[in-house]
Amino acid sequence: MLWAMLYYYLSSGAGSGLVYDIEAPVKQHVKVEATVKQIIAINKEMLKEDAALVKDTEKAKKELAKIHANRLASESDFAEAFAALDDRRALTREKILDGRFKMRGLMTAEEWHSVYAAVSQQD
Amino acid sequence: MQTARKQNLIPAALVSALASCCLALLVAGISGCSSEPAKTGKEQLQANAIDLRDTLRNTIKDAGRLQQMQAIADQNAAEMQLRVEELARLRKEEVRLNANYDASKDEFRQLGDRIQSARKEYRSLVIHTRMALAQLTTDDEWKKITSRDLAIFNN
Repeated sequence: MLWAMLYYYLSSGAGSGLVYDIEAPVKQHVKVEATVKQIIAINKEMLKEDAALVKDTEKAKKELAKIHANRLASESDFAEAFAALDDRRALTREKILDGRFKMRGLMTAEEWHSVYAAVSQQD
Repeated sequence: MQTARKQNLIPAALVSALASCCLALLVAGISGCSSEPAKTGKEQLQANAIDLRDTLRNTIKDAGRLQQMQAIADQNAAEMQLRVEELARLRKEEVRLNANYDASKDEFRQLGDRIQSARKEYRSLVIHTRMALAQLTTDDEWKKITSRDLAIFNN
């Protein structure tokens, strides 16, 4: 159905391929305890950002459902609702990317590869 | 969906996939085949297109308008399929890039732009289809079509 098709669009998050809960592999593969704590704190912030976006997307979904139900709604009604969501998604993506590069700065290449190899096994 | 992340290593991509699976199951449930396994994005889109066709056939009594509307829906379904496949490819690319320690921020930004562009093209197609169909319906017909459409998500 039409709404299902739109929902498919809405359900893909800002950092779908970027946000993982990596606490377990970080504890396993990163040697320095203080660094482990820092990485986990950053990772939690990233997860929180992503969760907040999911929540806002749910709100936008309700608003878009109302627009969809109105036969006379215009393309600009949709565009307005989607523009707010696009801005929100872009902001979240930037924050998630910042977090990703902060975590990267705290890990060696070897640690990074071990952590993400563990993630890909679970994916 | 966030509660699904209580275990470690559950990525956002998986959460999205789970959302899609739930959706596919709901759509399948309405079609009377809830015991089928969860659908891929492509299969889900095909199921949606079939469901839309059925709903139109059951709602629009005027043969001429029905034919016009089904032609619009069919015409755009194939194009939507291509966009969904493109989005899935870009997602996989993002996962690979993320796993690369040496990936630069610019690479992520460029890929992000491509994802957003693919997403907007897909969205435009759906909205364009929706507008064209809405124009050909009466208020009562649209109410029937959207109430079935939205009931899936209001549960």
